[in-house]
Amino acid sequence: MRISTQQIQQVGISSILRQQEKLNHTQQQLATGKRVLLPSDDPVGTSQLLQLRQSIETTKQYQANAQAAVNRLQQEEGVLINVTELLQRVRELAVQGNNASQTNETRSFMAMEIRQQLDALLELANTRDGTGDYLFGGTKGSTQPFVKNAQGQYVYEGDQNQRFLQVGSDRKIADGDPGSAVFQLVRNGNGVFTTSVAGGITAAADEGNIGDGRIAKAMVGAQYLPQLAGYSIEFDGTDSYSVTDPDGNVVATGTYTGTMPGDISIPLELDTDGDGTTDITTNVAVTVTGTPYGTDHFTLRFESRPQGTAAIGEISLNGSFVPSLPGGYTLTFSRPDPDGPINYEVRDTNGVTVTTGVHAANTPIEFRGARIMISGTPAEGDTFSVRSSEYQSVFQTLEDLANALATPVNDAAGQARLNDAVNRAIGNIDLAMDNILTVRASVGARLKAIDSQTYVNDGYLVQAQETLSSVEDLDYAEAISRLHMQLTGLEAAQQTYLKVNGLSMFNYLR
Amino acid sequence: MADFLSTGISGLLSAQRALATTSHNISNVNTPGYSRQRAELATRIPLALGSGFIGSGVNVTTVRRMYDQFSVDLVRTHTSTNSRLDTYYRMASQVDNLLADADAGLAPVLQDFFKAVQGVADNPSSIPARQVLINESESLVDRFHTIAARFSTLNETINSQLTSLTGEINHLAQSIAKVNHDITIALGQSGGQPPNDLLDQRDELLRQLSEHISVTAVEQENGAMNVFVGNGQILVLGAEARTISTVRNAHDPTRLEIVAGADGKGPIISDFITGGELGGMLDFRRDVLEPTQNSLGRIAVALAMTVNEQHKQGLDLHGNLGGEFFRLAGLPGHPATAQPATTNADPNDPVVIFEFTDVSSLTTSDYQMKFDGTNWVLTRLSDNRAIPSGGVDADGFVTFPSEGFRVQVSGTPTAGDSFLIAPTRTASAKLQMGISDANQIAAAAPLRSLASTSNLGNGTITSPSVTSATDINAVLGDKLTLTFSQNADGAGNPGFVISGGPFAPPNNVLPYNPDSHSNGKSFDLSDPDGDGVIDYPAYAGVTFTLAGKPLEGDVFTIERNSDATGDNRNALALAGLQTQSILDKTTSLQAGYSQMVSNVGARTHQLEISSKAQKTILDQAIQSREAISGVNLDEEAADLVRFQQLYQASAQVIVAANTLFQSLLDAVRR
Repeated sequence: MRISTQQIQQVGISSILRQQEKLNHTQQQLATGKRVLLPSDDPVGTSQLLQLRQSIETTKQYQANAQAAVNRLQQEEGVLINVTELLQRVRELAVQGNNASQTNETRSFMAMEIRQQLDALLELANTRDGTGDYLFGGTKGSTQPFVKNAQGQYVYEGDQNQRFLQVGSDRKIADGDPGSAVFQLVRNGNGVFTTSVAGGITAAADEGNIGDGRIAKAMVGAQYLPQLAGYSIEFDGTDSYSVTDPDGNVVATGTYTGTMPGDISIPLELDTDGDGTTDITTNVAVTVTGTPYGTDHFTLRFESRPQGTAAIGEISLNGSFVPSLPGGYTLTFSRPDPDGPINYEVRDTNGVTVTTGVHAANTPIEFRGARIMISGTPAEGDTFSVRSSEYQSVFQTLEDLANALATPVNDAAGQARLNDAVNRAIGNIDLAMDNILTVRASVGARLKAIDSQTYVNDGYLVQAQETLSSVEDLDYAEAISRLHMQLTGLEAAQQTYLKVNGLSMFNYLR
Repeated sequence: MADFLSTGISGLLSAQRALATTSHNISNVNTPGYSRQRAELATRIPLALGSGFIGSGVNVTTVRRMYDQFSVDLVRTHTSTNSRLDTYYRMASQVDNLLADADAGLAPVLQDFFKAVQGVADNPSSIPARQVLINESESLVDRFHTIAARFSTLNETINSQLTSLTGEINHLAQSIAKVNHDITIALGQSGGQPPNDLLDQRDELLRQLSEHISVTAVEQENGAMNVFVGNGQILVLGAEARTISTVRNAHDPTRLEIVAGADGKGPIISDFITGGELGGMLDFRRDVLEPTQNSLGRIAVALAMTVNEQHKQGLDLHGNLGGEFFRLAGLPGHPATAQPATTNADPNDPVVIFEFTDVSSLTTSDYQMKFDGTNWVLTRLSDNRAIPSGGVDADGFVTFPSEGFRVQVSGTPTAGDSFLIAPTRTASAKLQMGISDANQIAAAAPLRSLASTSNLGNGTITSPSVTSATDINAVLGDKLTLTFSQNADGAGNPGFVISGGPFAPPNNVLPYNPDSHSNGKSFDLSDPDGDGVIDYPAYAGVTFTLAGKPLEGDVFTIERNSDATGDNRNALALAGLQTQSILDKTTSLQAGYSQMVSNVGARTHQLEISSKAQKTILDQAIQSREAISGVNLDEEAADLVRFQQLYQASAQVIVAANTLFQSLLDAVRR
C-alpha cells in the first residue's frame, strides 16, 4: 500500500497525541488519588459511589442521633437512681412511723422530713435536659411537667408521648419516658386492687319526731366517698333536705324523690375542695321503715371509719380478681350483739351481697379473688372499700403519708387509722419503686439496644468505607507502573516520529 | 532524421510536462484535499513505412488525478459520523463533568438537607437546629437552580452553535455551487479534460460540509454535483445554492429548530438531520440534555411534593399546621400553565393548566395536548403514545393517573391547537422555598392521645398517626373521647364508644375485646367499626393502636397536640422520606439522582468509545484515500529523477539529430 508523506506525519503525531492523552489521565488519577474521575469513567461505580456516600452520611447521622439518645437516657437513669434512693428513705421513715413506740411529736418530725423529700422528688421530676427541655414532660419540652395546683393536688402538665430517635435504618428508640409513666401512672393497693377506709353513715331520727320512722339503710351512690366525712344531711318527712359541711355551714338544700316509708333518693352535688367546681355528684339512697310523721326530721352523718381498732393488713390476690365497676366492693362489719361475733358483709357496686361471714382474728376475708387481712377489732359499722387499683401519683402517696403521720393519734382507733394509712402508703411506695425499676430496666434495655446498634453502625461504616475506597480509590502501584509504561510509550512515539520524518530521498539529491 | 528530431522534441516536451506535474505534486504535498496528479504518457502515432511502423515519440495525453470515488465517498460519510459523535461526546462530557464533582452535584446538599431534618428530629425545640434546616433547604434549592442554570447555558450554547453552523453550511453550499459552475465551464473549454484542481477543491468543500451535516452528493452529466441534506432537501442544485436556517420551536421558544429554507421559513428538518456537528448537537439535546433536565426536574417535583405533603401534616412551633415547605408551580393548588404553540389559530384563547397528582407515576417525558376538532388528546412525546384519561375529577380537571398529573382546559379551541406540557423540564429552576421562619418548621405531629389518669384497666393507646387525613383541620377541631364498655355495641359486644366529632351511632364504636385484642388492635378512624366501609372519609389516615385490658369506663382521648415543642414525630416522618421509594414507587430521591448521573456517565462512556472507534474508522478511510491520492515525496523525488533523465536523454537525441544533420551538411559542403 502506498503511504503518503502527509500520512506518515499524521500517524506519528496522532500516536503521540494519543499517548499524551492517556498519560494525562493517569497523571490526574495520581494527583487526586481517585480511580474514577468522571461518571463516564465508571458509570456503575459512580452510581454505587453516590449511594455509598449517602448511606455512610446517613449512618453517621444515626450515630449522632444515638449519641443524643444516650445522653438523655443516661441523664434519665441518673435521675431515676436518685428517685429510688429517695423513695427508699421515705419507706424507711414510713416503717418507723408505723411503730407503736413513736409519739405524735416524732411522727410530726417524720412528716416534715417526708414533705422535704416530696419537694426534692418534685424537683427531680422537673429536671431539665442539656438543651433546657424538661426531661419528664413527654413532648411538651417547655412546659413544667409536675405542678402543685391551687387545691394542693399534684397535676401532670406534660403529655404521654415519647420522642423516638432514629438510630438505625429501621430502628427507632425512645429517648425518654413521659413523667406520667414514671411518677403518675402508678397503681395503688397491690397493683390489682386497693383498699381504703370507706367510712360509714350514721343515721338518726331526730329526738322530737312524732312518727316511728326509722332509717333501715343508707348508702351513698355506689360507694362511700371519704371526702364526705364530716358532712351531714338533714331531711324531713316530706321532700326537702339540707346539707351541712364539717364547719356547720349549710352548703346545699333541695328536694328528694321517693316517699316514706320506702326508698328515697337524695341528690348530692358538693364542692368539697372549695375550688368552685362540683367534685361529687351522687345520690344518697335511704330506706325508711315505720311510719314517719310529716314534720319528722332525720339526720345522716358521714363519718370517717373505722371507729374500732381495725386496720387493713396484708392484701393479696387469691386467684384472679374480678372487678366490680365502677364503685368497687364495700366490706362492712357489724356486731349486733356487743359481746357476740363480728359479722362482715361484702357488697358489690350495685349493693348486691357478694359474701358474708364471721370475722376471726388472723383469718383473711376472701372474695372474688381478693384476700384481705384485717388486724385489730372492727367496730359496728366499720366499712372498708375494695376497688380496682387506681393510678395514684407518687407525690400523692408521699403527701398522704405525710398527712397521716402528721395527724395526732389519741386513741386506739386513731392508731388503727394511722397503721392503715401507713400500710397503704408503704404498699404504694413499693409499687412506685417497682414502677421506677421497670422504667429503669427499660431505659437500660434501650441503652443496651443503642449500644449494639452503634456497634452494628460502626461495623457498617468500616465496611462501607472499604467498599467506597475499593470503588473510588486508585491502586497506586498499578497506576505508577502504568505511568512508566505510558512514559516509555510516549518517548518511543516521539523518537519514532523524528527518525521516520528525518528520512527523505531529497536528502540524497544533490 | 527530421523524424527523430521531432521524436526527441516530443520527449523533451513530455518530460517538461511530467516534471511540471511532479513539481505541482511536490508543492501541494500539504494541501488539504489535494489528489496527486500524473502526466499520462503515450506513444505518438507511428509513421507507416514500407519497412514497417516507425515510432514517432511520446505525447502527454492527459494529466490524471489519482482518485477513487468510493474512497472519497467513504471519507465523507465517516467524517460526518465522526464529527457527529465527536460533538455529541464533547457536549455530553460537559454534563458528565458538571455532575462529576462530588461537592457540586445534588447528592451532598440533598444529604445535608435530610441530615438537618434529623437534627430537628433530635432536638425539635432547638431554634438553631431548625435554622440549620432552613439554611440547608435554601442551599438545596440553590443547588437545583445552579445545575438548572448550567443546563440552560448548555441549551443556549446549542442554540448559538445551531445558528453559526447553519451559517457555515450555507456558506459552503454557496462555494460548492460556485465551483460547480467553474467546473462546468472548465469542462466545456478544455474539451473534456478534467479540471483536476477544481474537482479536488469541490471534494474538499464537500468534506468540510460533511463535518457540519450529513450530506448526499450526486454528480451530474455536466460535471456539476447536486447536494442533499436531511431527508432529501436540496442544498446545492448545479450552480444554485439553497439555504437552511433556524427557527424557534413552536412550543418552546428556548430551543431552536432547523428549517429547510431561509429566514426560518420552510419545513422543520431537525429530526431528519443525522450527522455532522449539527446532528451531534441535536442528538445531544434530544437524548442527553432534555432527559437529564427532566430527570433533575422530576427529583425537584418529587422532593417538593412529598416534603410539602408531609410537612402539612405536622404542627409548627406556633401550634399551626405546617405550611408549604417548598413552592413550585404545578404542585397541588398551584397549577402551572402549559406552553401554547405559536401556530395556534385564532381566537387563540385556550389556556391549559396542569397539576401534579402523584409523584410516583410522574415520568421524565414531555407531553403534547392537542385539540383534534372534537377532543383534546394528550400524547406522551417519549413514545408518541396517546394517553387515556382517567375522567374528570371533582375539581373539573381531567386526570391522567398513569402519568401523575391532571389537566384543565379553558377557552375556545380550534382544531389543531396544541400545547406543550413539559411537567418536569423547568421544575429545578423554578423550585423555591415556601417558609423562611425556623418556627414554621412543622416537627410535631398534629394529634396526641391521652389515657385518663382515672383508668382502672391497663389499656394503652399509641400516639395517633396522621398520614393522609383529607381534611386535617376538621380532624384537629375535634376532641374525641373513647370510653370502654363491655356492651359498647349491644350487650356482649365490648368496645370503645367514640364521643365528640362527627361520630354518631351506629358507626361510633371501635370493637375491642380485651381478651383477644390485648396484644394490640389498630384502628383507622375513617372506619371505626372496622367493617371495611369508610364512614368518615375526612378521618382517613388517622390511625392508632389500642392494647391491653381496659376496664369498664376507662377513657382515652385523642385531641389536637399543643405546646409539644419536644414532639419530633413529623420531623421523623420527614426524615423518613430520604429512604422512601418515591420515584416510580421503586427509587428514592437520592437513588434517582445517582441513576441520572449514572445514565449520563454511561452515555458519555459509550460515546467516548464510539467516537474513538469512529475516529479509527475515519483514519482508515483517509488512509485508503491517501494510499491512492496522497503525495509521497520520495516517489516524487524518484519521478523528478526519472523525468529529468528523460529530459536529458531527449536533449541528447536532439544533439544526435543535430550531429547527423551537421554531418550531412558537411558532406554536401564539400
